[in-house]
Amino acid sequence: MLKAILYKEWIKLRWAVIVIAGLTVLSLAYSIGMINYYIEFQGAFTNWMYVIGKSLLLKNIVFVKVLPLITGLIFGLLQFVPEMTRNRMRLSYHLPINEKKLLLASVGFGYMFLLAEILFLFFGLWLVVSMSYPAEVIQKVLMSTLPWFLGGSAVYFLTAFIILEPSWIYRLIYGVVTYGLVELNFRASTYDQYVGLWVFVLIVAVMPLTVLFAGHRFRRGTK
Amino acid sequence: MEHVIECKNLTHYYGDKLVLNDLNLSVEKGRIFGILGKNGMGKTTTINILMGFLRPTSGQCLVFGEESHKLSPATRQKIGLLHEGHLAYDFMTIRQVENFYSRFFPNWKADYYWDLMGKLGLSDNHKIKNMSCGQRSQVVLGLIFAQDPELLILDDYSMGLDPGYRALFIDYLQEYVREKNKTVFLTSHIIQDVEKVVDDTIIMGHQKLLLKMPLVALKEGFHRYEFRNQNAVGHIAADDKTVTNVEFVNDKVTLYSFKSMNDIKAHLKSLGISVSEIAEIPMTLEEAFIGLTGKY
Repeated sequence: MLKAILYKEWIKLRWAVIVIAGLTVLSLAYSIGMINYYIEFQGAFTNWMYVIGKSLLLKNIVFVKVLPLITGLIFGLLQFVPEMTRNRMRLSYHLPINEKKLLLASVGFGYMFLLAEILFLFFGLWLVVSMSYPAEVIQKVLMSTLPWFLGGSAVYFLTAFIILEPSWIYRLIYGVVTYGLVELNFRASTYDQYVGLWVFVLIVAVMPLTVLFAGHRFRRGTK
Repeated sequence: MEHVIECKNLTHYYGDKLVLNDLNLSVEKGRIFGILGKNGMGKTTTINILMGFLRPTSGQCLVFGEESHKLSPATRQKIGLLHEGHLAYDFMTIRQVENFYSRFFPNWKADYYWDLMGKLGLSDNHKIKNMSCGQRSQVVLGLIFAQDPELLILDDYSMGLDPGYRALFIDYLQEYVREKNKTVFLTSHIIQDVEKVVDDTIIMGHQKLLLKMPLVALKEGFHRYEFRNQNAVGHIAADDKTVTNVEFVNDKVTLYSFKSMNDIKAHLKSLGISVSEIAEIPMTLEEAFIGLTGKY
């Protein structure tokens, strides 16, 4: 049965998975070009000053900030809007499978695809930065981008939560809370701005449970 | 007799609004039940409770002995649901949807599904969202048949179907249900179709069950009488004992009743209404339904 759920989620997400992977490759290629251009244009010494002092690299890889966010949002929408349109979730709820298992499997598989995209981007970034900079810079850049990846994960789970919620008023409230939570992860524009990262890791880790709450409300016939 | 569905003292409110009031209902195994009711009579609410998508305010609804809002996966496996509007995973193709559902049901009978799909003449890669409502109804029916459930709940199966697809739906349903001795609980707005297929009728009035009886008994036992008498207009009222419903158009009086002609004549006489010519007019199920529930 879990294979069947994986199959259904794959049907919904497959084109998005391929397009996002393509965009990741293009974005990484763009970064290589930008990094080389700045080194060439500024010279190694000035570039080094900018990279260390002005966090230039984070500005060159702005797509890393946006891609996980967009991917989380798109995956959440593609998976759960078709389920909630015309109350199609009723079909899923009638399947002979435990409802909690069904919901957790749906978000679990969706997150698995999101995580694959995030890891692809993360290791691609590591490769790109390591082509021109030493280990200390690589570490700083990668650590500084972690909140963005976490932000993408949070957007995914909370998008699923909001869409599965049957009441529009609750959706609105959750939307405001989501914005506040996620925005915290995207404030930093310099290195090492990841204070409280582990707290947010814990928050994201429990987020899949929110879909159980929304799913339960839908099942009870809440309007 | 074994009951597949049993609703006891079912009451439901939407906010302060009472929709169902102390409804009691049972469905016996191996029979086809048609639930009829005008809009706003609580039919959809009953179906939603039965399907487990609404928890009643009080009372309980048992399906195969389990409360409908917390059916176990094993019990859900025994129930084929057709949702209003022939709901389907329309982002899937004909093949994908069969592939998906078949993994949930150990007794999956793929032949039933593919037989119906063969008649559609569409490619297996045809997406459900690109189908007409009639074609989609065949996909949904094929999936339910392939599931081989013991109980079929069909919510407004005729919605959006043209006469051809309605007839096709009924033909296949009749064939399948009779052959395999299934229990069916269905609703439809097209009463002449229901008449062709059901064994028992359940008619819902305002917040309550008006009637539950075999279709044959309803057709034989429920009568429509007509006569003309200007003095009778406004002097006969519907009651629970003799006159189920009464209509007046100019001097024409139409009475609906479960009583015989002689009983009606005696009743009119007791009201001081003399009638020289009174006729019984045969009814279709639709006319009987209107007779029971009224035109307004």
